[in-house]
Amino acid sequence: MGKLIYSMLVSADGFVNRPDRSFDWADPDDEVLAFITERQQAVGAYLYGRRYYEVMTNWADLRSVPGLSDVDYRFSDVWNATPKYVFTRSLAHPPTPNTHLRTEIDVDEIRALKESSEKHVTVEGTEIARVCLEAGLVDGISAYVVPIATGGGTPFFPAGIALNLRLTDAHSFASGIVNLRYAVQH
Amino acid sequence: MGTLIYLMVTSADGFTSSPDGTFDWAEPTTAVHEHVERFTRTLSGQIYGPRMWETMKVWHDIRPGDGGDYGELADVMYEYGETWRSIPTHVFNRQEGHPLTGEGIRELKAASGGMLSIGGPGIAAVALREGAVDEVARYVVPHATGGGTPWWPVGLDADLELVEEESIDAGWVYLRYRVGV
Repeated sequence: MGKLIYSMLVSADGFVNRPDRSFDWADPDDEVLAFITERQQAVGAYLYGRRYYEVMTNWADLRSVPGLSDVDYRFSDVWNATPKYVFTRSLAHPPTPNTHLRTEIDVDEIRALKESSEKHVTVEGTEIARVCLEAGLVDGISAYVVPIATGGGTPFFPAGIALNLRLTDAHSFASGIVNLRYAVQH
Repeated sequence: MGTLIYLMVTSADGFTSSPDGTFDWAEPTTAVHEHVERFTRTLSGQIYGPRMWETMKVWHDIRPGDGGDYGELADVMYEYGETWRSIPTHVFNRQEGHPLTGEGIRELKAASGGMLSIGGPGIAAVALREGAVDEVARYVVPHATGGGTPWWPVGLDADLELVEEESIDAGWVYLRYRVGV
């Protein structure tokens, strides 16, 4: 059985985007991307909200784009090979292979996916995370804390949910991004 | 000209207290207390708002021979009390007609040769909005409150530069940033 891990880039004041919902600052550098790629060897499926999925589609087919770094190509390979579940009501045809669309967030399906998976399942998207946290399905939280304060936006930790956590790893990068990993104490 | 650092204990989701105003999850372990004591020793002054002052002023009385009024405490508590009392303290209180102003904070910095700390979040927001805070340091506690008082002022954006990251004890992580770089 895999673990369900909620992982995103987060501002130092705890938001995944700015008040205008932009998140241009949440752009991992090569060192961070290589670290994430390494971690993703243990990930067997991604759960995405539509907004983050659409940003991530930039990583599809990078092999056809010349002149990028090895880190970019390796991340693209891993990303393309991993099954994706996208929760959306507005997207009819996903532009990437290996992609399953869902119009509803079904906690039983997510639970079954996690229980049948040998590898971990990651969640990127605050709405899916809220549903999974409320259902007690989230085992780990991984925040890549970016050295910026946005002053508002969508909170990474859903409002109204108190959680006891256990720090499992803290790692800082040259760019000033800090990865904090927690196990959720149920 | 001194520098100003905003130091705060925060939840993992960035709050200084739970929605009901409590912060029992922010009880430091001995190792965390030692870390705070070492930090406090580097200060030349401390600036508090009224609520933070209410929390901190107990350190006036925690000293060897206090008659056990505060129970049996670790040695570091007495050391911290001694260090804390040795640092000049400035308390501001808007309700009592003594608010922190931009001018006030600049005067304090100009008169200081070292590092001043400021807290809690309300008074720090005044200084942050004035552009007077040079560094922010945050103890991140492994607990999410789901709401409460945000450690960082709502509506204020800033670029930060990480200068220190340290895992201390019991899952507490210390993050220190330079502001506005």
